[in-house]
Amino acid sequence: MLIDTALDFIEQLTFWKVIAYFWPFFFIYIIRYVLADIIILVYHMPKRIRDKALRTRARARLFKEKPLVSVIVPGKNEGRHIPKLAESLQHQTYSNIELVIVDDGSDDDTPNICRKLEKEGKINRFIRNNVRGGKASAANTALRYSKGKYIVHIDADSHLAHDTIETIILPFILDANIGAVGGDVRVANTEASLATSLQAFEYLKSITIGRTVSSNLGILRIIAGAHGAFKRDVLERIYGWDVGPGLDGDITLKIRKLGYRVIHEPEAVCYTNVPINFSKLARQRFRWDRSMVRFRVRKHKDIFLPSKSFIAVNFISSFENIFFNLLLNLKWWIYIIQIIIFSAQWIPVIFFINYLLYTMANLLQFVVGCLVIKDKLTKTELKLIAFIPLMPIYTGLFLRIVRTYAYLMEFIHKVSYHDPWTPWKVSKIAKKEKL
Amino acid sequence: MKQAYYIVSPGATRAPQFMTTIELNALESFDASNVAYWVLDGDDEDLPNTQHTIRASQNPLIYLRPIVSLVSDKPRNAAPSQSDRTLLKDEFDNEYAKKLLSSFHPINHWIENLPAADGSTDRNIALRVLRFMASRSKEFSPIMTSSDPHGFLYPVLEPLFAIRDIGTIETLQYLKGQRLLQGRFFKQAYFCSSCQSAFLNFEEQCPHCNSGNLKIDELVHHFKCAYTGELSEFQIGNHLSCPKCEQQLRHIGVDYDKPSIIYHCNDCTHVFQDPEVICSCYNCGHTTSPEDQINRTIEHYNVTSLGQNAAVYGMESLFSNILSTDLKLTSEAVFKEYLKLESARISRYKLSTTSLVLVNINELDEIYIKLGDKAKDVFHELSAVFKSILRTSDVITAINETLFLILMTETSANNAERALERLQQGVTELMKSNLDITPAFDTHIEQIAANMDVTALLDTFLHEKSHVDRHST
Ligand SMILES: [Zn+2]
Ligand SMILES: [Zn+2]
Repeated sequence: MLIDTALDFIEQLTFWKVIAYFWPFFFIYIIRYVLADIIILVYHMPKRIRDKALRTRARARLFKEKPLVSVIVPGKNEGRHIPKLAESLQHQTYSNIELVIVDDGSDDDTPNICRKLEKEGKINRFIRNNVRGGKASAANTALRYSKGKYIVHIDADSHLAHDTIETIILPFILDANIGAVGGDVRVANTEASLATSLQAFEYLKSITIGRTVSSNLGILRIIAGAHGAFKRDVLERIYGWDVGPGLDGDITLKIRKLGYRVIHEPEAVCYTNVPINFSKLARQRFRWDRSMVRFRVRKHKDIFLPSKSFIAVNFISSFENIFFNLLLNLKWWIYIIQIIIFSAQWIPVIFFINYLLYTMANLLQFVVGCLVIKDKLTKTELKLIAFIPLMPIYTGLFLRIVRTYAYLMEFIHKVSYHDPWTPWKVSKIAKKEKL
Repeated sequence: MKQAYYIVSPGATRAPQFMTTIELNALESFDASNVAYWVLDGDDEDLPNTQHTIRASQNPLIYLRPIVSLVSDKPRNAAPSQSDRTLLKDEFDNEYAKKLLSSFHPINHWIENLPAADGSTDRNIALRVLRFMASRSKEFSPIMTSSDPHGFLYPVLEPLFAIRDIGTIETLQYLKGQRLLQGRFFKQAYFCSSCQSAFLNFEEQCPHCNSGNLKIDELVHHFKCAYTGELSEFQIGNHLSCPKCEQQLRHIGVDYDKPSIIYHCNDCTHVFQDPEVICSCYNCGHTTSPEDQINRTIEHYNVTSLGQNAAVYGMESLFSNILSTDLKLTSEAVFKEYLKLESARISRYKLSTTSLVLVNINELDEIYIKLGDKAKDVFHELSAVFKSILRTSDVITAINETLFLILMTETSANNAERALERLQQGVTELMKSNLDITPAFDTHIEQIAANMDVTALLDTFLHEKSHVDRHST
């Protein structure tokens, strides 16, 4: 039945009709993702091979100089994760590491757990703030009381592969012009549920492949708070993090404005736990998405208005982000409306063909992703191939609906000022100052 | 007719013309039955010793008498007097001396009413303190002082104690434990665990190198720009300015706050928030963490009505004293040892059950208050009731005059319940027929288990009891 209709549909197709029915896939998806894969295959991978000798030499220098690396972990009520984290740092291939924990007003057992670890020497410094100040101020406090030449910012509930610190610091040695390095974030609890498996696939696509590509194009716009390394002097020049839920991208942009390169290092791996059901996931994404609008459009207006700090690549980097996130979301709805109005009789077929196209593209992405990860690929990650048929529904429907809702809310209500993560005192100031 | 006596000690000046004198070293052999009060030379450097000699006498007619000390000038630094009264030499004349007779009359009257006023001796320091306090019938308040290593003094009580005697504070606490005194909160204080001195220095130290050379600063968080740094970084002239955004900070809590305090060690550069606190004693140099020092509550003390009676009739006539001679009453400490052994035995072999019985006989102390000396006879009969119910293997202790703990070995809760019923019956019968009092009982039976915390158990028991008391009144 569907097959018959499909054949009828295909029979009447012309080149222009194909474009008209499937333009989002060909013009946007192909350009953004498939081209990205090609960049990886023809640029990133060969470059890695070429740079091999350089990297080996840089590594020898790193281990000779052994600069102190401060791992900073700001957080609230994260005490239960800290012992495991401290333990994992002791097993790093790189050994000159200090661990600085900042407790941002926890109301659980965190202070006791951390004080004990501090006494045992498993935490180098533990700063407890009785009053919660928000994520940025906690990170800044950690920065203030860390001593390392390099600062690695990670989330308490994540854990690192044994060579992560070494790998994330290496780019600084390779290129003195690098100000910050984003580490790869992968899902630790991949097998916990359907939701976590789909997120694992998504992270592979958007972080491992997506950021590697942005990095190669010189337009990386975000360094994950969950896993990022910075040069201390660069952070000090910009006085650390700023207020707001978009702080990860915010600081990346500030570093770029200083003229430093910001890159992604896919082989520095950090595993993080992701929400295990769809409702928790929806809430998390709601928070992330609306922060994007806020800080991009409102705070860094100067990037769109040529000024002293204007550098072309920064403009492209920001534009790329705004375009793909904001406008593409809008595009999706335009496409749906177009199909409903002009091609209502073909809806099932168009849906089905789209589904096939996206599934095939996802399969290609998966293969490329595996190539980028190379020797860090785990069996669990390989098994994700089984989830490819579900990905179009996850990214095309679930995430899109959450995103649209978040953007609408942000534009209409400026709700992110009431982000529960940021204490109301700080939010109030941010709103007043139009941050 | 009673009269005042001037005590002539080696360092004392001549007695006022109108006064009868007595040599200090003739005191013990002196018949003090018509002494109204002692008069001492307050200018004598040896005054504390003279006072102690009087208060250390074992004769109630001597040591309980009021003491008046005469001074040339009112002391400027107003060290509280250890005498009952301190007067200027100029104002103390015959007239005044007579006036004092009547004002000391209640004390002397109390002394005369002592059954032992026939010249028997009071050796026990606790009884002497109790008698002294009861005879004055007022509240005894401590003062903080730097002149005594204990840090606190009960000035008028001090002469009762020799320098090396068991401490004043300990004696008062013991009497309170016997419910003969009641306390009213004055202060909490730490004492050296090795020498009891109250002069302790608390020092914050670097946890790394134990240096006390620290710099302490407040952390400041500027809301607007999320910058955090130490207060000194923000100080420019006499206002605060943010190093990151150069804005002036205005109101704490509005545009900035101070989330914590940071310590820097000036010796090893360690940065921390949780300094070690070390406590060292000025007196003996003993150094330890504050938790290991002794923490005590210092109180004002009043004699209870039970204490009033015990002061008059002597503590030998208290029920717990009679029980301990009639029955083998163990001390609380020994009882707890028994309990520990028993709970270890039970949890190891898991073969038998042993019960712990808590029983409080509410009106027991009233017997004493009502009957005074004659209470002894009733108590002997009561202890016979206890004796008839307990087996030789049972262990009993008295927490105070009304609360008893009985360890009934190899006894199930049911059997303990029955024994307890018989005890209640016996006591009720006795008290009803002799005194027309129907006693009320608070009881609790606990099966002995591993790691029993008897102190906690007692606490809950007493707490619930006081709850019931409050509701019933
Ligand atoms: Zn500021
Ligand atoms: Zn130190």
